[in-house]
Amino acid sequence: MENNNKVEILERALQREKAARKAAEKILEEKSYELYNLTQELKISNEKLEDSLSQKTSELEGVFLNIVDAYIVMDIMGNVLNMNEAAVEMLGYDASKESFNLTSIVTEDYLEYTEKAFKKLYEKGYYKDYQAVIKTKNSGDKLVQVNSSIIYNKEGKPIAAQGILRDITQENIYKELIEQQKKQLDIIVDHSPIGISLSRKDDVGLIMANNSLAQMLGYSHEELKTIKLQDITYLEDKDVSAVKRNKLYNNEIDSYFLDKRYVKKGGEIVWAKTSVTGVKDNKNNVKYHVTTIEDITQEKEAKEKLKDSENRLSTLIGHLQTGILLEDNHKNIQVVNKKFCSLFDLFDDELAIQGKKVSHFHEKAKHLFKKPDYFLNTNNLVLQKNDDVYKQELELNDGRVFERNGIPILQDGVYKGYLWSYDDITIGKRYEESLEAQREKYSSIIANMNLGLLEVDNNDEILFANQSFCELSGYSLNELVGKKAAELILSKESSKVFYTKMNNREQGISDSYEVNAISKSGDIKNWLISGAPNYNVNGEIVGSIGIHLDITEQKNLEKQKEELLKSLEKQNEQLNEYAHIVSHDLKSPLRSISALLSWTKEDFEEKLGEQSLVNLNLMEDKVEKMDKLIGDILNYSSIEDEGMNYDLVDVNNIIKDIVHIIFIPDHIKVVTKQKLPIIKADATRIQQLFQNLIGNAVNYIDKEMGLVEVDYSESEDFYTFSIKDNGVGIPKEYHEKIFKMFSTLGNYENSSGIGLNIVKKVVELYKGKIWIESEVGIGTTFFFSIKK
Amino acid sequence: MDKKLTILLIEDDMIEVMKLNRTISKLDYPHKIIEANNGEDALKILYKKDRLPDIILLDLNMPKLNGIEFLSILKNDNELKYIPTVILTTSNNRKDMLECYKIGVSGYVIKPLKFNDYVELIKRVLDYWSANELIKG
Repeated sequence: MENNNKVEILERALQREKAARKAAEKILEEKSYELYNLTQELKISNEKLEDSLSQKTSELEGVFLNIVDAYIVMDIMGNVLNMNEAAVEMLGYDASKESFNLTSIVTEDYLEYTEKAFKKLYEKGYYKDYQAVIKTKNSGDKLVQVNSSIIYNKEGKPIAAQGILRDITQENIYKELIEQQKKQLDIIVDHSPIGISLSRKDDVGLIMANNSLAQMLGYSHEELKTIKLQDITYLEDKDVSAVKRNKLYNNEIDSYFLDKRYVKKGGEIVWAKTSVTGVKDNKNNVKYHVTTIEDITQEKEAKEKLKDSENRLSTLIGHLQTGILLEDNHKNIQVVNKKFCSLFDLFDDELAIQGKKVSHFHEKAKHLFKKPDYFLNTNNLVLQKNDDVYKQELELNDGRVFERNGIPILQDGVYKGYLWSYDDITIGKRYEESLEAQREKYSSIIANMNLGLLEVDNNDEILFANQSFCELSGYSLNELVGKKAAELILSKESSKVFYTKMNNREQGISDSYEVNAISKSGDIKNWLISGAPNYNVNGEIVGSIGIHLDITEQKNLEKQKEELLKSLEKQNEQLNEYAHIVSHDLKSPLRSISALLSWTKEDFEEKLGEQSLVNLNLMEDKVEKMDKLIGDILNYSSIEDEGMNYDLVDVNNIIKDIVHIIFIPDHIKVVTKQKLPIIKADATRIQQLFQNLIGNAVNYIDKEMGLVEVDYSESEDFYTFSIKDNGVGIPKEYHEKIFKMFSTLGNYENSSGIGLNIVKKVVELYKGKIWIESEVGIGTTFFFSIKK
Repeated sequence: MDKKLTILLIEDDMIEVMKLNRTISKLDYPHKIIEANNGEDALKILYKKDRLPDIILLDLNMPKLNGIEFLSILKNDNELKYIPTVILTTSNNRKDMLECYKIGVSGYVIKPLKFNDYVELIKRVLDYWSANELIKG
């Protein structure tokens, strides 16, 4: 089964093969016929070509001989068939003598290139600018350029190639050199920090621009090819640029320099130092121009700033309140300012003197000074040595005083000029002088005053003490200086006080206080110290100044006074006590006598005769009068300012009370003429006052109908009361006397002679007065005033 | 007449003592009077404490222990301080009066000059005290 299959497959393959062979044979037959026809045609055209070739060849041979350049003809394989003399000379081979192949004399490096070139030659029929190094027979390697073409026969069949050879060895070396130089130049140009461009007149765009230029202007190289430099010139600089450029193109100048501004792509302005040079052609016309551009923006800015600061400086100097004179190194006046001119008043303005010799100024100015020589000598000294002048005071004839300072101006150690400054210090000088005078005045006051002055530092160490202080303390100045004031002088107790005050002083508090001081001799003294912090010029506390007043005597007096007052008080008290004791001791026996009298009368009423009874009654009266006297004296002695109450007292009530207390006979009336005031006083005293006066009034009434009238009036500061009676009246000569102690008028039994004394004393307590108006037989009015 | 009072009279003046005695008898009062010539004597009597007086009439000006000194001692004694004490004096010294009231007195009577006035005054004082409820010793 399997074998059968195989046989079948094989049989089928054989049949297919037979069929294919038959088809191929048929195609071959057809092709052979076509080939035959073609051959016939070719034969005909070949013959034609041969004819034309031979014709051409002969034509060429003529040219051939005339060609200066080396010329060779080679077959398609590169075997040289023919060559002219120039070629022989170039290559050293002669094809007429020895056969050689062109490819075999090409150096190895060029073999591949050569092969390709040949291929191209056949394909295209020509090859231009073939360059290869060739090994010549005698003269080494040569770089040869060959332009070649194919030679066809009559039938158009390539039969040979011809080529013109040029020895370009030398040319190439130059070319390379130039190329190299160009490259170097390019590197230089491209890396130059200066922008360089080449442009042609009227062309839009730069022919060449280097990196720096691109960077400087912010445009790319591509963009620069479409830009004219004059177009990005800053508007204000355009005209100047145009004028210069036209001159260049008109051959008036070869080149020009210009500081101008360009507008960068971003709109910023760049300052450039430009240099433009024309490039001329054979006819001496400017065709191109090369522009170099240097970015000087920063320099410009720096210059502007410098200018600004120079301006500021000169303005400053111009307005300075100090006269300024600047000399240059040739002693010419370079600058003076307004103040300088006004100080000297020799020149109309600054310009009148600027530029002149400084000696000119010296000559004119010297007459102004009290000591012209001093002024000139310094100038000369400065002339010679160029030293500093420091605070030189110059007195002027008109009373002014100038202070001048001078310093040489050096630049890198080289003398460039001299700067003088003049100040009018007249006021300051006078102020200083008056200050000095004041100081002297005050120090003499301080030295001569009776107050001890002590100056201490922050550690309480004595810096200075005046004469008075030395006298107060008993120490000499030498003994005092450097010692701690409190330790040396003050008592322990006072030291404590003192240190508290010191703290206050540090906080800037000034005050006065008393201390106990111990003098050198050991006496304890009372001092009143007024201390104040002492400040230095910077307002810092550097210590304190104390003024010391010896108040020992005053203190002692004060003590004495206090003691006196105390003893006075004590004595007063004792006196008061004594008065009471006396009154008690006097009153007690009176009471006993009175009691005994009354018992005697009682017990022996019937046995006593009438006369004895009268005598006993008289005795009783006298005892009573005595008792009243004692009571009044006691009252009087107890009228003191002390212990007085100041209550509101209704005088109306007082009067009512009195009318009840004292005995008023039926025929006498006591009336108040109007409502009496309420006063601020001691009720007891006021009662004493009215009781005595009303009592007196009642007692001295001799009329059938008695009338006592109480009234008052009021002024701003006083109440004035009056008690009027229609009694016996008081003769004028007694108006004063009645107020004296123990004086009494008439023989009224109850009168002790003290009553009006008490009245007067009370009135005086209230800072008032008492007086009377009286007419004998008609009546009396007592007036008294009481301060509100 | 309400109660019978036991009165301690402290008085150095013989006539003053007589005046009180005469006043009591004149008024016909049943009161019993104990006499002491000065403060010291009075304290001796009081310290016995067998029969304390209902009231004390005290003179201020006395030798030895004076009235105010006696009063201070009396008022410092826890038992005796309850006895009402009336000052009977000729002195109207304001200072004394303030001092007495400060220490603690039940009255301050100034002896009048006339005996009849005295009788009248004493009558009122004794009537007042005999009308009062008193702490019985």
